[in-house]
Amino acid sequence: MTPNGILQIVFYLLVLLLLAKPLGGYMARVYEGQRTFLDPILGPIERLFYRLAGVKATDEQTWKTYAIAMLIFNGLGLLVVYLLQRFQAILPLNPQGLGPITADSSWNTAVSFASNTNWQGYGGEVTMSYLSQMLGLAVQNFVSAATGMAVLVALIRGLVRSPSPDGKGARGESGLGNFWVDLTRSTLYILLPLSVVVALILVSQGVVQNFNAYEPIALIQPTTDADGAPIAEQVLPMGPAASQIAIKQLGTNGGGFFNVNSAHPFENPTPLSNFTEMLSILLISAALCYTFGKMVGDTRQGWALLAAMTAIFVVLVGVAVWAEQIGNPALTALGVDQSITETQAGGNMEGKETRFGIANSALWAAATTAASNGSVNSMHDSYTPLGGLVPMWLMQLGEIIYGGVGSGLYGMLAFVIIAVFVSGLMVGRTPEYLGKKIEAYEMKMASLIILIPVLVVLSGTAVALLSPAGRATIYNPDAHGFSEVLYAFSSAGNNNGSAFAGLGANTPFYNTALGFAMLFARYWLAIPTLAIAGSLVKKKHVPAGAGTLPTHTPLFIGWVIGVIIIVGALSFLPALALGPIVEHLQMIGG
Amino acid sequence: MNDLVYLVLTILFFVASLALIEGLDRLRES
Repeated sequence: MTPNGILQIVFYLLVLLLLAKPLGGYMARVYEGQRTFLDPILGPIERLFYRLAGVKATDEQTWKTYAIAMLIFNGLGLLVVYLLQRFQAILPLNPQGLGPITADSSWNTAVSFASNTNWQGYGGEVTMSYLSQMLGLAVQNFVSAATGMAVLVALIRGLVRSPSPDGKGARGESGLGNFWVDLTRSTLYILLPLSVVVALILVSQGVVQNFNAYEPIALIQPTTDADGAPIAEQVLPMGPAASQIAIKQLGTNGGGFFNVNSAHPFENPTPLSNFTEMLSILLISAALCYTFGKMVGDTRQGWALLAAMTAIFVVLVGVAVWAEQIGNPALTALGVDQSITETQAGGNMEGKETRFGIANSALWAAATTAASNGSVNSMHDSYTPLGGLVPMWLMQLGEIIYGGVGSGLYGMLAFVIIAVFVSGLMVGRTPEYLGKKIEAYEMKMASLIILIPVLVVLSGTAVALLSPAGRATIYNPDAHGFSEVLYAFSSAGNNNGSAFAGLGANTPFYNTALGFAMLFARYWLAIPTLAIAGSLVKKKHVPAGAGTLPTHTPLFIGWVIGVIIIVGALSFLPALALGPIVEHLQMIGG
Repeated sequence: MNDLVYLVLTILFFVASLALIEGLDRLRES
């Protein structure tokens, strides 16, 4: 790792952590219904939405009503995105005259964007009309992110609120808030203003934002294709990219406007655009930790979770940068110079943009898979085996190291519940978290949250490898082919969306199998999370006593990290041993 | 035809999700 690389990573983390408090505090005000500086502009719009939709903002929902509202809203969103793709040929804003998308790809994409995964089996610039990109995908980028944030806020309310003496909840029976209000306020007050700021920064750096048809330009240096035919012209893709890229990063969605995502110079042209996008990936998820602390009335609780996430993140970023910087020893044996000089980055630069280099590529790879983002500025398939193992394992940990907006923190809280429960067993005391007793029901729900993605990823990989349709589009042989399939299901089964691109995934088999992986990973985790909230909100707060385990101390942070690593390692180590670990051993063995 | 297949699959998933909600609620009350 170079001093320059270390400096850039440290600067990135510093800015991220410095912004966590002001943004987190602002988000707490939004969710607690307090006045913000945006109220004079957005307040009337918010109230208009409620009037039009017939929503009474003060109505409280139980966990079941909240979950059903979430499911209905997401199901309808999925349907709209599906229909937009199927009918895009006859709809407006399609200057390239792109045809309808196949049923399996449309369904996969609709599920992918509704579930905040943004797995893409298609290439944006040759598949999607501007209307499909904007009205379908960009809208889902906002509302799927807001859905995750809403579920988190409901869980926090479950921890914070207590039943009143008559057995009813503080604001109505077992009230967890109102899904429609949380969805609206997340979108209007948080995602939309931040997206405007980020989009303007991106436009200032040269990211395209227009409705023009694609532009043919004459090549300065004409060339020939594989058959020797002359090529004198190149077609430049256009479109409303900046507005979509801003929310794809902020909402941890990750779906690229163009096929190569943020490696494309029209999506990410400069070091400043790269830094802005990379910061946007983790910004809200990190800040939500402070929001959590603020809402539970003890900011130390939020800082503790942020510290646990950051500790794991820093170590894994270090491994990824180190692995990419030392490169491939087999190439060194062939006399290839992989050292850093004034004229080359050294290490493994395959699949990386020279304008970003190794540190900013590996940092992005870790950030995008720590969060359930999945956008890329380099090709993860070209990483060294250990460099590629890092993003894969970050996804397999359950997208909780910062994680998706909202979903990352509620996933982390499931691990906290397990950690609290196990430590309670050790000392023979009923476990508590933030004054609420953690009992068998919460443990069952937390276990579901942790085990469902494991089941989806491992069984999905096994089915793909056992079926002819799954094996037919594995284009790399041996261990790396296995790694590509494992990566695909780790990505879909944890709502990430990035890929080892060597796998041909735009087939009916993978579109359907990965679609189901995304559905289960998203909604069958959100539902038990809301069930925990519904259970906790009915429990009274227990005052902290001498035997209460403090959950903001370094000891507890270390304990949570241990539980995360042990569960992650036990669940996926055998599979990783068949893929990237074997690849690494083959590489160093020559 | 394919459209219908995916419509049915999607509906099945969401019906199963509603059943999961009901099941988890009963589990809590038991």
